[in-house]
Amino acid sequence: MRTDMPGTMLEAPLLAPPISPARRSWRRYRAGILFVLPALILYLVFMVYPFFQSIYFSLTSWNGVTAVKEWVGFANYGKLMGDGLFWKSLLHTVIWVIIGTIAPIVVGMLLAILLWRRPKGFTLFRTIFFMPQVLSTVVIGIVWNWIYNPIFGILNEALDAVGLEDLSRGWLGDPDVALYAVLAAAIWATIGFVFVILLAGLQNVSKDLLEAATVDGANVWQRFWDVTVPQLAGVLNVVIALLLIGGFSVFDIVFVMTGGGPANATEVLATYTYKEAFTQNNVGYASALSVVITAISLIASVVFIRLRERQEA
Amino acid sequence: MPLAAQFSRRTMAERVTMPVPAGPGTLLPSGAGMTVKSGARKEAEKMPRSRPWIIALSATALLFSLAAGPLLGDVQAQEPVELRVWDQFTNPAESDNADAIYAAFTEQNPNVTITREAFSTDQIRDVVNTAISSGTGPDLIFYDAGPGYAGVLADANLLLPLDDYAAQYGWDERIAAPAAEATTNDGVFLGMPLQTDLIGMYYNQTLLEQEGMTIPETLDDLVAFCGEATEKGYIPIAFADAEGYEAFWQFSMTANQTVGPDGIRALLNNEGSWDSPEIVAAIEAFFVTLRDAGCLPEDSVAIPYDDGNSLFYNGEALLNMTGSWLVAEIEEFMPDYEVGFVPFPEIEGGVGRVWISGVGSAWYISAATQHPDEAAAFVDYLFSQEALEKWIGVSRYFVPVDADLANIDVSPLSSQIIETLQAAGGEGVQFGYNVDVLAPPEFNEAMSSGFQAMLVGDKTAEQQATDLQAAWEEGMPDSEATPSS
Repeated sequence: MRTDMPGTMLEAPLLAPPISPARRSWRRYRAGILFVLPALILYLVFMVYPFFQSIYFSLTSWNGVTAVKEWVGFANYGKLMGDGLFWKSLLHTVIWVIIGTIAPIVVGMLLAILLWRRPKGFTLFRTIFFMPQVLSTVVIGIVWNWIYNPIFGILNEALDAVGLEDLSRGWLGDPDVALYAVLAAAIWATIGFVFVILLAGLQNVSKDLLEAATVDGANVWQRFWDVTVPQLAGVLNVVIALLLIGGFSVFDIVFVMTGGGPANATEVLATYTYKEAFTQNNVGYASALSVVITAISLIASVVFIRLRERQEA
Repeated sequence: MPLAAQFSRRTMAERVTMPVPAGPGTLLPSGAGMTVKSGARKEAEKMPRSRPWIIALSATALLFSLAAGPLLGDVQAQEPVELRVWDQFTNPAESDNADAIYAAFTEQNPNVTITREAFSTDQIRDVVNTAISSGTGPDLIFYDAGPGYAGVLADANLLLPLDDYAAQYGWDERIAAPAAEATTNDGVFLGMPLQTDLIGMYYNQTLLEQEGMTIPETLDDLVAFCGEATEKGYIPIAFADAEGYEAFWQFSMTANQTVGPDGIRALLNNEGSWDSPEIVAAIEAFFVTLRDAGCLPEDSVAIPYDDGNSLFYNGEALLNMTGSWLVAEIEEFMPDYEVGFVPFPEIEGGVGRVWISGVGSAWYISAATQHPDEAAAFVDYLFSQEALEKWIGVSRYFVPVDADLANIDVSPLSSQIIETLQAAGGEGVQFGYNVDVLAPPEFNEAMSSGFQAMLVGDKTAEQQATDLQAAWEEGMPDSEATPSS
């Protein structure tokens, strides 16, 4: 019997069964998913889960050690609203974010522009400027504590040596200046990071545009503000976003240098949260503080990025 | 070949079917009626003779398994044991001394390994709660006694009760009753205290004699002393408060005078108020009167505790108001000076000069430890005569247990402190309470930040007293102070 006649086995061609869209997607993205999976699992376990767990703790009055976590609802958030030390810490944090963002960018930009043309000693200066970034924050805090020490610190000795004894003081013991003293140390440590990023960004700035601006009569400031800075927009967005997030969550350098003192003069949100959790055994309230910190930094970052996007558009 | 035969090691020819005898279920000893291979009859006849040795072998195995338990138990007792120990001996001399004591224990107990981590007082307070509550933390901790510290762990049942071990090793007969009370929670004995602290005023006797100055006996004397010391180029009192806890001891010294030890005990038992004229007077005595008289170093709030002590060690300061835990460092760093130790000068209107005493830190065992017996044995060794000679003789701890001091080289300063502690309860010597050890964390935080604010002039004594009372009320539910009698 011929098998190529109609009605025979060869009438319908041999085709594989149709593939569902889901299966097609899995086949297409399978390799990528598998590569991402380990990192995703780590992220879920160590970032996402603790985040939601913190939210749960914030609704309890847990002290961190007992097995029972008493549910208190939003009482911790209510307490937070009336907590004077919370608002004081928030104010200190806002000051830190503002100054701690602007100062490193200004100084970092200046240093980057100075080294942009690769002058003599470029490698040496680049290394020196970046050096603080490789030091641990604890080391930076301890060293700056020694610099500020009222008994043997070189800052007061230098001021005395040049006749500025009136400026000598217990820098970390004066509530009026302690926060700015710690901030100065933190800015010193951050400049290197900003400098390196901006220096890399400057390599992509068009020299032709600058020359054209010069020919058109633009002065130094106009060339910088109207030609260079717009071309650094992307880099600046990243740097500012990182500094904002880092500023809202600053902890280590304050903890090492002053512990939030004297008399809560350098208390920021993160150090206050830490104290509540581990010194006062108020893990529930501390969790509420940490949720608020997260929300504030998230809002600030999103607002900033949206504003920058609008400006660029 | 049939399929079944293909899976049998025997061929069809090897399979012989015996004739089946009459009667169902009948199985002859020879195995008749069973399908066996050729020559099986001979094997069947052999089978009853092989059973005895099988039975013997089985009986032997049974006896062995019954004996294996105890035998294996003995083996397990010798299995390596690791004890994780967290202590606070960060001072190099104390750390080396602790290493030597631990090494001596492991030499006598070769199966035990001590894994040690040293923390500063601030560090261990921040991490120990999380570590112990995780269930995988250290087996033993050397931690502050008191409701705000070990008391928190005790309330959460995270510390191993030691009553049975105390009876087994005789600790309850050796330890001073007030010290044992300090580490007892709800009637359960939880910790072995290693340090009994005495807080007072060290003075540099050598320099005082050299300068023709006398030890101040009253607060007014002290104010005058400060003026004289400053004129001679000295810092009167080596006070540093960068960390905030240094002020605790000053407040304890003055408050126990103005309110009296009985009054402090009542306050710690939630009777009365910290917002009282007597407490205000106590706060003013140190944080206003002495501050305004120039007794304290400039910018004392910016000076760390160790740097402040250095002022006393190198002779720049004449007085240092702190505790007996500093004796080892004083002896190490002031070999050329003679140093004395007295209570805080008398405050007018108070009950007289009062020594401040209390248990510092004690040894606790985690309730989650896998090796409670070994941990208890280690604690027992830590209080053996051999170890006590090192604790007292090298680290200069004042241990509240019976110890033979005959072989211990005790300095005059240490002797004085030991005699003072032994005089506790006697006439003419008043002992008060170390408030921060017995107060809740909220109260200590209010003391820390509030006294710093006072030292820089941002707060009055009245405001601080009010804040202390508010902090006490906030922490009161967690406060179960059990002051030593």
